Amino acid sequence: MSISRLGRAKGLEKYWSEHLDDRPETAVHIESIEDDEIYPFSEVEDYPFTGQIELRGEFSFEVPDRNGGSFDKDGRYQYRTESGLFLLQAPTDLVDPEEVFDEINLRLSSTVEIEEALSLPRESLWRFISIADSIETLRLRGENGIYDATLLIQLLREDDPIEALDTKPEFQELNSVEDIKKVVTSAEASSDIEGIQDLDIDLYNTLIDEFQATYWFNGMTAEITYLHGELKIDAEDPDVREYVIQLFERDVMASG
Amino acid sequence: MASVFSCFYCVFASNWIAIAEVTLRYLLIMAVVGLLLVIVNITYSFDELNYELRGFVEYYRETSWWWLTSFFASLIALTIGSEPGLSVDLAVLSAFIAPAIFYFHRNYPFSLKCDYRSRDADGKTLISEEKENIASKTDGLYILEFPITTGKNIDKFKINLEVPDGVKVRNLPTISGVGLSDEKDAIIGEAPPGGDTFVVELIIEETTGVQRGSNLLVLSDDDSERNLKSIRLMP
Repeated sequence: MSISRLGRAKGLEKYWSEHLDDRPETAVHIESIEDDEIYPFSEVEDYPFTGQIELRGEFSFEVPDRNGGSFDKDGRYQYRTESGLFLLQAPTDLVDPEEVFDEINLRLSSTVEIEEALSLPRESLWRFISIADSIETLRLRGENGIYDATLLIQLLREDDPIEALDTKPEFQELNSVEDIKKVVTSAEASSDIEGIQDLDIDLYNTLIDEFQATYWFNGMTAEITYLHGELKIDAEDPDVREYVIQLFERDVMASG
Repeated sequence: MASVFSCFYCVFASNWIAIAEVTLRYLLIMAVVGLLLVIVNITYSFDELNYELRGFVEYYRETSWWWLTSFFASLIALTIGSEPGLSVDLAVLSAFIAPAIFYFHRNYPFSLKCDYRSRDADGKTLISEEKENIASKTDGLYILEFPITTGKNIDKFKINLEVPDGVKVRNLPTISGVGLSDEKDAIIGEAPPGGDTFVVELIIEETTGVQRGSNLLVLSDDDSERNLKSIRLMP
């Protein structure tokens, strides 16, 4: 499994070069740059960035050691020119991806910056989440409080959700939400609840705090984690990673 | 039939001055209302007008214009005393109304409103923080919720952000059509079709940290330059 952190930049290809290493005081060094065309998977219908170029390669990051010195660790990056998606595979857990983003931004011209947290339209994000093969966590912040929508769906599948809310310990967390019975009653009235797409969520007034979802491709999985604008992708295989990125670009980046 | 007409003639001819005065007053009032509608371009529903006027009264009462004009209108009324006559009444009223109309015209629209909602990590409303407009950080982040009301008479809006030193605006997960400007110094966008209220979430990241005395995040309407909300970021 390899974990990548997602960022976004506009027009980075104009500035991205090995000459970024001209300033020796920064801790990040671009070791290699390759470019290639990205081909969409046929499974990703209506992919909007056909023909876009990716810049990819390795970077090294200086990690301080206990003796006051430092040692280098290698990581990988990928920048997708049309969608603006920047993926950073941190070299080690010792390195905070945000530090790498900050160091790269120091080297870039002031006219371009890699945003390490993404401003994503909630409707688009919702669409992307709803096509996941499984959703492990989906914390929503509505007018009444924060609740896990996956737990809400489980509750709505009960014969008597209101009674289950009061009696079953697994729904205790939901009980702490203000006016949860009102939320349950309105969701219950909508239709048969099979997934989050069946929840009648008012996205104008509901924020997506956090989610964790899994996507399958050719028997492999990729897990997407989102928390307050920070996105990570953890994939078993490069193909499933690329597949999920293309879905994300289509459903979220194209409308962001 | 002739007697009916002659009867009407008797009644109206003898009171034509009073009728003309009432008609003139009516036309005058309608002209003022029409002029106001043209000035603010209100062609919407009663709800929308109600929305706008309530917003106006809310803001106007916070200004010094409110008590100053009330004071002068009272002073004039006391000086003149109970002198009867429409022109006297209008003079007293205009001391209060004219500045209000001028303020309304200068600062319209008032239906762009920005509230502030404060929560703890579990999502519980923090009423005291909301009332005092203060925000505390969690893990180096200030996560601020702003329920925004645009009103149907606003298509596009721009809410300027004045961010204190020591923090930076990180992002704004929001609804389609609304976002941060490239410089991250304004929330810009179009009011969503079919809905005039929505919540935006501003995530503010601590860099060097805010200092007491210079920790105010200010949101203001770009058009009218009205201060919509000031939040104190607690160090």
